[in-house]
Amino acid sequence: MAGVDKCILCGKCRADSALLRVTGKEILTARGKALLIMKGILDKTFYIDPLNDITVRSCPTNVEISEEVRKQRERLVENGIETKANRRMIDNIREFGNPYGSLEKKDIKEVYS
Amino acid sequence: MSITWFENLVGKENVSDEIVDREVYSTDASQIKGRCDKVIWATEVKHLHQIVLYAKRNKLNLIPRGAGTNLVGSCVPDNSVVIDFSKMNKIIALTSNYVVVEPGVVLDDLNSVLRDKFFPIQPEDSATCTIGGMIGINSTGFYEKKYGRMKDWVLEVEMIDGNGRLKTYDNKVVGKEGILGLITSVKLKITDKINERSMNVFKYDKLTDVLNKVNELKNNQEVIAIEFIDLNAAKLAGLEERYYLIVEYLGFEGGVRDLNEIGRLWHIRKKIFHKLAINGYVYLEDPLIPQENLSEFLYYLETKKIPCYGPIGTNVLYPCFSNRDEIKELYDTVLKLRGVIGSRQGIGLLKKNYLNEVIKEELRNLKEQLDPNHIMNKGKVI
Repeated sequence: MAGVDKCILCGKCRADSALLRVTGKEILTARGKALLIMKGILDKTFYIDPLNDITVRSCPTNVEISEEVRKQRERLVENGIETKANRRMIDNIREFGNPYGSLEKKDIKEVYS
Repeated sequence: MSITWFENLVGKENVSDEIVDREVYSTDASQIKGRCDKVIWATEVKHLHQIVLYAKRNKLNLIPRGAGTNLVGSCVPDNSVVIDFSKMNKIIALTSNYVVVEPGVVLDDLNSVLRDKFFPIQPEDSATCTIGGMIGINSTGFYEKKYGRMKDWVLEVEMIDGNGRLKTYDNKVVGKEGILGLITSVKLKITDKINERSMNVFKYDKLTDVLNKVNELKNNQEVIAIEFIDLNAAKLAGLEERYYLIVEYLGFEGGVRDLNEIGRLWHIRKKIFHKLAINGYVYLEDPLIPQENLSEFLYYLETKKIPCYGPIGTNVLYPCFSNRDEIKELYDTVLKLRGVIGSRQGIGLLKKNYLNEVIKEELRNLKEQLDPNHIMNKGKVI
């Protein structure tokens, strides 16, 4: 597995992105994420897609983009850049040991990944 | 230019001038870096029409973009508005003889709905390439020997030209890399799926044997694809270090008839670039070499230890490089052998200095008619 410095911008990862098919937005592909990381742009975009959506199935250079995105999320949190949903998920894990909050209430309205 | 006008037209969700989007759309698979001012996700023809008229009035540069997988910088912006067609991906009409599609349709998606028919231009990146992009570079594929190129399958192209006129054109606008207008829909011929097919894989130790076999196969009307892997590429791909010819036939002349096995052989062939890229050979060229000089060209590549593969049956090869600086020498060799630089992947920014002057002049004349204000894909091809 390789880091984003091995990304050759070929765009073959577009075939793997379900979110791209819905939104048409290049930023939701592994290539889009790699470009932002290469440029050092830290943005909430890294929270958008589930890590398992952006795989390396089609990547000719085996860039492990999920791991790279995970690192960017760490940096975002360290820099105080969070989404409300992300903050709530972290608080729930700390308080209840799971991302959903009190399971006894059985009123889960959001699913996190 | 203000973004408000665009937001009012296409909605806030379909336009962006945020840095994250501008950065992502500033380049394509060529890795050339440009500057993107705005991105618009095209959804409706009437919007595109208004955008072209606005661009004409305000002298903006518009860059149409499909999957952004071209290798020559066709989608690289120059202080431009990039129009991404990924959301215009509907199949508008489907009959037994033709389909009408929006330009953002992905080729594999189209073929998945055609059942007993198929669209026979099958490039290597069929899982990502869009019909609009394929028209842009007059794409071709594994079955060029039998089915030709994109131009042979395009019946009509509906396009908004640089004057802002929405018109239907014939295939004369195919292969123009977005310098004439924005394609809004395409009518394509389709044909019967190949049901009876077979394959052979030939292995050789001498180039002369390879070339003799290629000549024999070219004259065989049942042969629809002849793909080559040289021994340098084979070695890097983890195959036995020999020359390979992967051949597909209409009918059962080949020894491999099981469809799963045929799929496995094509999978090996399609993964060659992946294997080369992992080893650092990430820059792919696509020269066409005259038949009489093919032998000399192959010996040149072998002497230089340049791995190559590709559709040798159409006299095209894909030499791969780890360093762009090494490619100039290849171009000199191709020209010396009276070959063509950029035969399959387009001209874009990278190869326009090598495009034949006669072709360039024809393109300039067409551009003067359809885009006299030069608002479409400025600086590309000519």
